[in-house]
Amino acid sequence: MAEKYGDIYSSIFMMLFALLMYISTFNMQSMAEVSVGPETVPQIVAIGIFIFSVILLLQGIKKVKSYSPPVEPEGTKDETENDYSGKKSLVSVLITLLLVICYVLVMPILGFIISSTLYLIVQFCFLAKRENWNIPLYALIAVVVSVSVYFFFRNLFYLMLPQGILG
Amino acid sequence: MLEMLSAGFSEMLTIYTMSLIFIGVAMGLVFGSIPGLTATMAVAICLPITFTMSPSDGMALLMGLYIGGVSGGLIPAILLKLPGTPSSISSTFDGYPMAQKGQAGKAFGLAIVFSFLGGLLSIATLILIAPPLAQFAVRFGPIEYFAITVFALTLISSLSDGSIVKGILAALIGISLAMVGSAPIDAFPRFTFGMNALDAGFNLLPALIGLFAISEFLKTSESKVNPLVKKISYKIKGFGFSVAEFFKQGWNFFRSAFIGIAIGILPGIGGGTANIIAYATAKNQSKHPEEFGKGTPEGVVASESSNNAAVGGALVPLMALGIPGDTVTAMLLGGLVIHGIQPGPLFFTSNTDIVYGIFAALIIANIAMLVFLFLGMRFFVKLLSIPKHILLPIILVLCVVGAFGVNNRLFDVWALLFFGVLGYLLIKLKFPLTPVILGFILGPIAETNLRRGLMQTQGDFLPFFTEPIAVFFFGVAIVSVGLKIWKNHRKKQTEINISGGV
Repeated sequence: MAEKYGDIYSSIFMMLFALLMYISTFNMQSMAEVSVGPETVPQIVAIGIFIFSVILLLQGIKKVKSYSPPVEPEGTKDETENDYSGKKSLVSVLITLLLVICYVLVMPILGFIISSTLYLIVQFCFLAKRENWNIPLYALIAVVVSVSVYFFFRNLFYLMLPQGILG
Repeated sequence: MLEMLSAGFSEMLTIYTMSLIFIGVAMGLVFGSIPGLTATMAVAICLPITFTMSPSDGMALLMGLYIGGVSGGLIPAILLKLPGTPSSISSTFDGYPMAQKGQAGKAFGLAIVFSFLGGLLSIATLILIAPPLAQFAVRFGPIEYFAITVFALTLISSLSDGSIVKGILAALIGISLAMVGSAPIDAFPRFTFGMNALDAGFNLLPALIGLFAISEFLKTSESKVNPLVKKISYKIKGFGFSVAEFFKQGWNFFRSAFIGIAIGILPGIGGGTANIIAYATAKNQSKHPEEFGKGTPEGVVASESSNNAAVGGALVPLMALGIPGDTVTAMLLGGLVIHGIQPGPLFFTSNTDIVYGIFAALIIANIAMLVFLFLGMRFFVKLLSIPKHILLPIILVLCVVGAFGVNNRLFDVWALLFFGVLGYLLIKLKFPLTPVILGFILGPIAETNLRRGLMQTQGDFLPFFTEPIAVFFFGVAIVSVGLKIWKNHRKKQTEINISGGV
């Protein structure tokens, strides 16, 4: 689907984006009397995005008309990816993204160490196949990483990561 | 110049700074040798660490990472036929067959020594041409700068892989993202949606890490990671090759290194393209082109000397003009800006110590790379068996820490995730990412100079098209786009001819 209609979707989205961008420049008024104010470049860029999206849309329509299912291209690109075998799915990307969002959301409450440990364990499990799970090892790695990162940055670089309930 | 270089060395030759360079090279090699992790990612993760260091120390670490990151890719390329980084794609073509024939040691020896020599030649070139170029560029006014940034942006969009329309759109997206926040010159707030956190715009660091590291992480999470279990065995003795074999590669080496340097200097393409072009040229020029792909040392030498040569090349426009040529140099620009240094012509007069410190750091890092690879080969080979499902989440945590460290606030972490998702979507829709980040960096420079130039000319656009230097750069920009369109057109024509003929 994305292979076939990707260009059309992205061009339409970017046309809308360009329109919105252009409209929102209307209330930008420069305080100085100059020929090129803060609104000029955004307008040029918006027009540019619009024009090139139209070209992309036309190309995309042409591509759909002459579309034939892709023959798996051979080459270096696949070589780099052949160790991520298995079925690719958008769902697992969304779940990973959700995990990361939860991680960042709970960080101010639970603090860096606890939230990172929990996140790492869940993410390790999610990325590995069920039969390869090794929860005690994962937990150990997660704790060691979280604690050492926290103290490494705190003591060496004075980076105050959130302490949360441990503080 | 020599005394400044020796001053640079004396700045680098402290135990602390030297150990930073060594740590950088070692980490870079680790990142380079693990497929899926790149030099860009290594620099991104380490940028926040340089916050508290002095500028020279910070740059010492980053230069080590850069050299190590580009070089590490040769290990899995030769042993596993997996390029560790895009820079070592063509090292797999002949390196892997050589390893299959039991010549892994020879392939490693040649790859490492010629990586070193390629890097050294390009650093020498950098030291020779960057200062005069900067001296020449000091005379540039806003009009010239506007022309150069526009030239760099068009070149990047037209030279990066795939469709030119997508390349230009990607650059425009980058420019629009950089517009969030206060406008240059009059600080008028734009596209902040009433959020105070956005008044200063998106910080470069979360944008960089998000686009290049988080997007890669999301891409990997598409499927379950298979633990990589492959028995790896090889033998290496001394350098692995004879003196005669070394000198046989002389001309091949100079040609490939020259290609690497030249491609490195051009904005938008770096080691990833250089090694493929150098390999193709070596094959075309060879008396025995049929041996390429079957394990000829020439192929390994061409690929490895060109990708390391691209390092010095890419640093020329960054240091002399303040214009990054690829993603790693964009990161390095970020690293300098963090320390309040703006690379460009004035960099050479106002921060001479840092400039020559960088040169010295590069030379030291290059030597460290040679030594580490020969002594530590066993260790780096072991790294290849670390499972990805453990490594990638840890890298994500480090990215989060890095983004948080920018301003000690979670807002930048959210920005990081935003750019990560954006990068992932763009990868999926087959947009190139490099133009986005360069648009993000160069867009504001272009706008500032356009508006300054117009103030200078009292709103007259004519001087933009009459100043000779500006006209030259606009001209080259148009020619580069024209060439790409023509090339794409011709490619399509031949495709039609082929399919028609069949």
